[in-house]
Amino acid sequence: MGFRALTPIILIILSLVIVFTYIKPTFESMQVKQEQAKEYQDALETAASFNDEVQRLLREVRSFEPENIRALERYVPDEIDSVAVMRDIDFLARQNSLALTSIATGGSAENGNERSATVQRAQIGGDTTLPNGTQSQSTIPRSQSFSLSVDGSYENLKNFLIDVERNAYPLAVADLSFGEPDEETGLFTFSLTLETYALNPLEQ
Amino acid sequence: MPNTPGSFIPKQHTTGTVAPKRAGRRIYIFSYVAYVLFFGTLLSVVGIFVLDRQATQQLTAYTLQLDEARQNVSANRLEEVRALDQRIKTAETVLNWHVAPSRIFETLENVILESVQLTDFSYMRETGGDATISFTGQTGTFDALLFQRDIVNRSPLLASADIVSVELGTETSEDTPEALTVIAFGFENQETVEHIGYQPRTNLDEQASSSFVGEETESVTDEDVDVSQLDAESNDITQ
Repeated sequence: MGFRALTPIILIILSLVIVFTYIKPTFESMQVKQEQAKEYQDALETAASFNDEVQRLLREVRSFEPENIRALERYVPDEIDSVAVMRDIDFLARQNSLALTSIATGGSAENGNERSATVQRAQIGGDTTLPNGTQSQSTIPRSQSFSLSVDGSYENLKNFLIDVERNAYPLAVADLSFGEPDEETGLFTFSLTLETYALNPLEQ
Repeated sequence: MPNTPGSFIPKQHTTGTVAPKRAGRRIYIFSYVAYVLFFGTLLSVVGIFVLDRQATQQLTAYTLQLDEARQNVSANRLEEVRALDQRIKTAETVLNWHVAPSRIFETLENVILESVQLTDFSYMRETGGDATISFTGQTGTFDALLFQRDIVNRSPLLASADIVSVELGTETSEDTPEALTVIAFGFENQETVEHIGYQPRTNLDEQASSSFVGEETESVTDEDVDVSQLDAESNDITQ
């Protein structure tokens, strides 16, 4: 009689012990795992869509003609070869019957310095602004200026400028000044500052 | 009722019911509930164990898949895309900055009067910003200068040009011993860039441009200029 009466009580106590020592903690731990699994599943979906996007972009990149890629790399190179630029300027001057009397590299403007800040303020348009309205620093080019002096006629200067404007890489006229021609030769002395640009290092 | 011989105890009927003990029944129900609870708990243990194991396996599988997905993204390929994207955007920026200062001279040739002689010219532009044009010149009368200002301001490119300096003086030369009145002036124009955006030149443009070399050009005179027609004959500022 005594043992029969105690058995249900022991079973109930045993059940409660099992619930609180195993079932409850394991259930909570399982819930955490399930939540983590859901997060991982979302991450997997994101990774899959990201991979798809990367693949799509890669296909797009590879669909460009190599010639166009080369032209783009020439238009915005990784580095500015100052000597090559000077040689090109000299060539353009000679081609337009201008005598290059002096040329020197001027200042260079790196990303993030005062001049680049001015550039940002003076931005005159384009699609380089981010959705939050600011311009990505990495899409602002580095610039290198060249100060030169050429002698020649006004017509030659105009033709020189036309050639400079349609050069394979940008040679922007930052400064141009001239006065009256020389009384003896009738030739002008033109002072110019030309700027060319290169890619800024990628932001990591 | 017949009596059994030899017994003096009268016989009694033995039929009837015995009431069950209520206490024993209560114990049985309680045991039943306890057993159900206990076996239910054991079943829950098995269920929870299986579910937990499944959750763990699923988590491990997702972790492996995530690692695999991460490995599938080649950093070099991504860098290739990023680099090209940056180059294209930078090229767009540079293209948006690109202007054709040679157009300024074409405009000046159209608007400078024959009686006006330019002596200095300067063009300055901050990287990607607006440009400032300034030029100085000389003329003989204030009327000519006023007329020149009127014509200059009618040109879209030089519409915001202002006379920033005027000075009256005299000048003598070997040819003309008498002192001549000279009015020196300076113009400055700041809103320039939007009017000199680069446009590819056609062959016709190039021929017209190159035709200036060594050719006589007809000059604009104070008398025959039609201020409403600013595409007047060109006038070389070198005169």
